[in-house]
Amino acid sequence: MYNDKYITYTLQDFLDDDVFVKWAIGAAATNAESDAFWSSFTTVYPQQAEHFRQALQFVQTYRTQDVVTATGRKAQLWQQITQTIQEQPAATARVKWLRPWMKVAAAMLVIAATGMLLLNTYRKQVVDTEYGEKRIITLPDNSVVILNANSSLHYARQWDTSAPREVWIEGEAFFDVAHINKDAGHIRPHERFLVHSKGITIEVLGTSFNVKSRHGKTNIGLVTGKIKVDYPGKTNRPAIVMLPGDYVEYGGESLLRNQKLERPEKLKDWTRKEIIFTDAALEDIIETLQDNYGYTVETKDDNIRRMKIEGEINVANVDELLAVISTTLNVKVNKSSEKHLVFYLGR
Amino acid sequence: MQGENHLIWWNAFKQGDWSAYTSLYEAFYTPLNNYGAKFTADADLVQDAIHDLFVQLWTSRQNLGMPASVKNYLYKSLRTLLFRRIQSQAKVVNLDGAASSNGFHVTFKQEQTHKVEEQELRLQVAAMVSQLSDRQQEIVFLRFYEGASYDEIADIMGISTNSAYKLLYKALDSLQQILNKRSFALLCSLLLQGEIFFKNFLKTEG
Repeated sequence: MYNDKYITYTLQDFLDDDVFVKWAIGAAATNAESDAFWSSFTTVYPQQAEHFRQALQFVQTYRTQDVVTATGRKAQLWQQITQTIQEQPAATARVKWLRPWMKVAAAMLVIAATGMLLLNTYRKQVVDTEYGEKRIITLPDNSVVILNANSSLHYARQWDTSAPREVWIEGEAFFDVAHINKDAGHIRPHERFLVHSKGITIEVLGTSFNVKSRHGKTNIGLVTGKIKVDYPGKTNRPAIVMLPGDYVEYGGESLLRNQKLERPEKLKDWTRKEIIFTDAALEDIIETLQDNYGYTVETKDDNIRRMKIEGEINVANVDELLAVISTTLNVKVNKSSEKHLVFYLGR
Repeated sequence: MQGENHLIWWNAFKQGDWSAYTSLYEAFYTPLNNYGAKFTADADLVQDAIHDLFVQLWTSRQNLGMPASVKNYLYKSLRTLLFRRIQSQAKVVNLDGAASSNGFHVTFKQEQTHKVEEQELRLQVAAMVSQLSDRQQEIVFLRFYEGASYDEIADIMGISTNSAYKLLYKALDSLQQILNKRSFALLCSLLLQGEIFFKNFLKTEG
């Protein structure tokens, strides 16, 4: 990775270099490659070592500054913010018009509502998505779940430190789990994160992965971190420990597939654009139309399902998807009714 | 990954997700306080501005766009709100009304290290920084503490990328001069220490 531009680098140039500054600061965004590059910089460019060191020294010295955290006032300020928000609507002006008995009634209502709210926090939270809908859910521990269409996620509204974090999923979801364990040798109950799906339990500390559970099959693909997949209560079945890029598929109680993905980050594609496919068979596309958008699909020729669209499809909605299919393949799509599609050969 | 999470929260918060809104507060409370404290020694004022910022976010959430960076957006908004607060508090109001300079001060850690060189360098950096204008100091902070690019700095401070670049260029030029003199200064300080030692030596000798 020898680059001539560094030969003439002055102190100023280093401090102008975004990549250098990000690395010197130790920003989380720097990747291993740039880390390796800058760490060995002085051996690759000995002439520039002095300027490099000066720049690094300056950044590091500048950063030994006092940090104001004001942590002591954090909770109090939050209370003030929520209070201001609650008081905001025009309701404040109208209170003046209330008669005394109305005020009492209003106060009782508030008390009743608070009670309901308290009860509610111990209840289960259920999030469902409609066909064609996607939702982002922040769990009580700040983990983020992106729920695909026609899917459902359950979890307790409030999580405490005595039990593991637990969620139940039907359909497809991408999990980005907050890692709260600091000492790997000593894992406390709430540091575990369990995902339950069709009798399978996925155990996690902090990681990101995709779970898809449809038609009696469950797929799990891991992007970062490490997870354990298990059938609780079935001793004859060894747990599988997955590493980044691993992809498994279960059907009923048997492991149907266990492979390594070349680009595991693709598992997350569906969370970004409306519809994304890579080298997809029409069969997969039809499945998505049915599962995520609620269409019924009929194919006039069996070969149609085996046709493949090479490369990437990246479209905003179903109509665009159908347009891509009919322009790239020798297939025509007929929308015979609002939610019924017929695929047949021909231009 | 972190910035990505912020955008996910932002998106959810815009749709009225209270827990995502809480997460934003959790994530940005400390950095916003730290940034705000550089403009004023009055901690209450900073708290008030953060209060205004979060209330405003929630009440106008449906009209908010999707910022390139949530952090930059919040820094920029805090800056505006804080300036407004500072100006309404000031007895003499600036007639031009523009975001006038309100001071920008970074203080350095006082802890003693055994390395004389490290301590000396810190003093020099502190001295160099204190010679800069408020805007230059802010740029240095955003650049080398927050790791912002010129475009991001320009966005937060409401100036052009070109002037952000020019302001920092001038600041770094004086840094270069200081560091060039540094080997000389180090020599001086060593000589000075030698002298003190010699004096003490004479004293004990009687």
